[in-house]
Parts: sequence; structure tokens; C-alpha cells
Amino acid sequence: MRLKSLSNIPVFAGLLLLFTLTARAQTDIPLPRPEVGRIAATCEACHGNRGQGSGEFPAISSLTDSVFIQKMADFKSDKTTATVMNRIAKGYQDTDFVNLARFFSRSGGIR
Amino acid sequence: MNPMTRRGFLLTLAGGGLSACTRHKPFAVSGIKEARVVVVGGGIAGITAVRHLMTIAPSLDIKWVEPNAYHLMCPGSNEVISDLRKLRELRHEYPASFSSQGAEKIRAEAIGLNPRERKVMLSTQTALPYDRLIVAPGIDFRWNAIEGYDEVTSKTIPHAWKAGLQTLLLRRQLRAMPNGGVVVMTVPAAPYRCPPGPYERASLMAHFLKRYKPRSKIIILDAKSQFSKQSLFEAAWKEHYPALIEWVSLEREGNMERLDGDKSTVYTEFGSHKADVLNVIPPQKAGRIASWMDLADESGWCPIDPVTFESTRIPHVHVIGDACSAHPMPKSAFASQSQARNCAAAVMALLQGREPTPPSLINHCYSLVCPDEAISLTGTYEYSRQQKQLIVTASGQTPRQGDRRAEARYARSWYEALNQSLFS
Repeated sequence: MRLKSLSNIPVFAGLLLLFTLTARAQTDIPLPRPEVGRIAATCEACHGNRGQGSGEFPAISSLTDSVFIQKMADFKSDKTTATVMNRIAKGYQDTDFVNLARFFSRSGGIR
Repeated sequence: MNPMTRRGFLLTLAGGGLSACTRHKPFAVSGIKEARVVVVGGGIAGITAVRHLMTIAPSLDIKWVEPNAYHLMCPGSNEVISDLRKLRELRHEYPASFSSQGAEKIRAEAIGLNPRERKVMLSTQTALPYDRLIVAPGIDFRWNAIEGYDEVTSKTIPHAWKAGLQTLLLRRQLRAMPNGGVVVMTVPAAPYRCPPGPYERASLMAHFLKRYKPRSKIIILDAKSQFSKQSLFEAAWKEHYPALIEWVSLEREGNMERLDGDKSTVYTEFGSHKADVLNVIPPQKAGRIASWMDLADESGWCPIDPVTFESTRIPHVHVIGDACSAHPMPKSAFASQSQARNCAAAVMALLQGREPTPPSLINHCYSLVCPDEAISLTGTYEYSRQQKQLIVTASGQTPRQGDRRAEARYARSWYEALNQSLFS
């Protein structure tokens, strides 16, 4: 197989590309996700129990899922700027935003 | 209590008289209702663990061991030194409501461990059985590390690295210092509690001196080559306190070799510094309970499995907060709370016979550079199975042109949220 692909440059190049992509994907493979309650606890450190807001930190439990997810995505991509949230949002994955939005809106953050 | 008498006491306990405590089978925890969780320590990590367990497992039987009736917060103590806050604002009574919510407070000191029988030995000459034990011992000082500085010397030359009388002593000395005086602060090598703390302290002391004793100077003798949020601190110092703070790196002559308390002088490799006010932040290690329980290794800190915060030395015992080695997380209040919540979740999973999910950890620590401006450092952390350790998933600090005033408002809000989460 190795010889065959070497004799067939396009296939070889294709395989090489595939291999490169796979290797890249492997380094980018998302880490297994923590349960949402654990991630939510990182929000609650500032945004208060069940994300109800605290002092300067706005309530996040009152946001609709789509607004929550969009806000986090925008912080992460630096589309919107904030004092600290741009830095924090980069530590999480898009699926986390979906799960967090649900956690805070539907269950009210009650575990 | 010295080690001999403690050991004698442990042997006495192990020898008998407590067989009544073995009615639970320690290896068969069928449901969490029968499970016994003991939390040792009433600092930020300990209280957070108790509270989080009560939240996620309301029916759990929690015993919380803490000898004091109140806690003195370390965060905020730099403001006390600089007259921006009163010490009594740092003092918080432990909430009485814990008992009604499932956590029984046992007012005693944990003085040892019987890992085979899974019992915590208490200063009240009793033993407390556990299925899972969470220990948050905080820090202690390595008194033998600096020639000329020990616990006795610290009564006149403060470290002020645990809040209380030490904080007031340093404040008093700063107030009494003549205009044109020199403050010398010595900073140990990493790791130690609150990496940016010395530089916040220098900033706020400079704020005080600039106003009341403007010809004075602060010299920081640092056993490190660089420090947390360095560029941001240095920019703020240049702006607010030009020529008031001098930072001396390890390479220059930052490493203190010895100290002469009577002469109020610090000796380095290359010279000496006479101080009007001397603040020695000593090298540190895990709190004494950690060594009594044999949870610390030769580094002085407690090695843990970062997924569960279970000690790698003694199974079924978890260590959280400043005492544990959770590299690359710093030893901060924010990090301690995050560790406590993750540990509580992992303990619950283990008691229910589930495999704990990976941890989601965070640190976000603010430092005031003056009363209404702050800078911050962020880190989020997860566990990498390949590397078998915590890795940084994102990190960053206040941008150079960042809004330091907004950060100061956030810092105060966070501090209020922290106090509320612990003591309300």
C-alpha cells in the first residue's frame, strides 16, 4: 500500500493531507467535558449562587439560552470586549456555552 | 502538643475504647445517606467545601472540624495595613445555619489521622470516622529557612502573611515610621500563598506613604527573577509612585541571606539594607495539620490527583486550597474556592460509585494598585489525561490599556461575593 500510494502522487498527497488534518485534529481534540455543574461553579464564583448576579456582576440566570450562548461566543472571539470576560470565555468550548445556558435558565441553577 | 505526645495519644486511641465507632463498614458505602464526610479547616477552601457539599448533597452527613468561632480573611488585609480598611471588617463569625443544613460543626482541632481505620483524631480526645475526608490546612511558615528570623522575631518584625495581630503590627509600624524612612519587604521564592500579594502590598503601602510620608521608600528584596503581573505593577508604580518603590530581583541581590532583628538590617549576598520598617514574608509550606496527617511530601506541600484532589499519599483523604500542589494553579483565594467545589463534586461521585468527571478549575485574582484601580490575572484549567496533570486552557491579564478602575469595582464586587458565599 505504501508503494502504491508513493507511485500515485495525488493519492499520496491526499493521504498526507488527511494525516496532517488528523494530527492537527488530534491536538485540537476537545478535552472530555466536565459535568456542567462543575463548569457552572466557575461562573458562580463571581456571578453569585445560581448565576443570580452579585454587585457589578450581572445576573446570568435571566438570559435566554440564545443570548447567553451568543454573548459567550462573542467574548470568546473578541467580537465584543469586556473587562475580564474575554479572557475567561477562551477557556471554554462552544458546547459548554450551550450546556451552561440550559443549566442556568431551565434549572435555575439548582443542582 | 509535641509529636511524641501526639503519637502516644494516637496509639491510645488505636488501642481501644473507640470500638463503638466502627459500626459503619468503611468499605461499603451503599448510598450517600450512610456516607460520612468530614471536612477539616475553616478557611476559604474548607468552608467552600462544606457549603458546596450541602448544596449538591443536602442529605449528606457532614462533620466540619474547626476550632475557632470566626475567620479572619487574608484577602483585604493589605488594605488594613494601608489604613483603607479596618481589621474588624475581615473578621467573620461562622454561620450558625450550617448545623440546620446538614453540616455539624465540631469545635476542635484535627491533630492526626488513622488512615487504616479512617478516623480523624481530634484535640478533644475523640476520633471521628469518615468515608471521605477533605482537609484544607492552609499554610505555615518555614521558620528555620531564614537565619535570624523565627516565630519569636516575628512578634516584632511582622510577616503579616496571615491576617490578625500581624496585620495590625505592620500597620502600626508603617504609621510610626518617620517621613524619609525605608520599608524593606522580603519576598520568598515560589510557591507561596498569593503570588501577587507582596506587590499589591507594596502598592498600597506606597499609596499611604505618598500621602503621609512622601520622602520615604519601599525596597522589595525578591528571591525571584520575575513576579506575577510584573509589567502591570511596574507601569502602575511608575504612574502613581515614581521612585517610591524599588524592586530588587534575585539576580541583583534580592535573595536575603540573614537578618539581624536588633539592628533591623537585612543582609544579602552583596550588601545590607537597614530598614525603619521590616516586613519579612517567609518561605512557606502546607499547614501543620498536613504534616500531622502525613499528607505533605518533601516539598512541604500535599501532592494530589487533580481530578479528585485525593491525596496521592493517603487514599480517601482529599487536600484542597493553598496546602495542595495543584500546579499550574496559583495559591489564591479564588483558586481555593474552585478546588473546593470540584473536590466536593468528585467526593460525591466517588461516594455514589460513579467515576468523577474531569475538573473545571478557574483562578481570577485581582490586585489593587491604588484604592480605586486594580489589575487581574486569569487562568482556566482542565485535566489532561495524556500529561496526567492540570493544563491551562486559557490565561491572560489586564491589557496594558485596560480599564483599571472598572477592575477595582469588580475586585470589590468579587470580594463581597466571596464573603457572602462563605459567611452569609
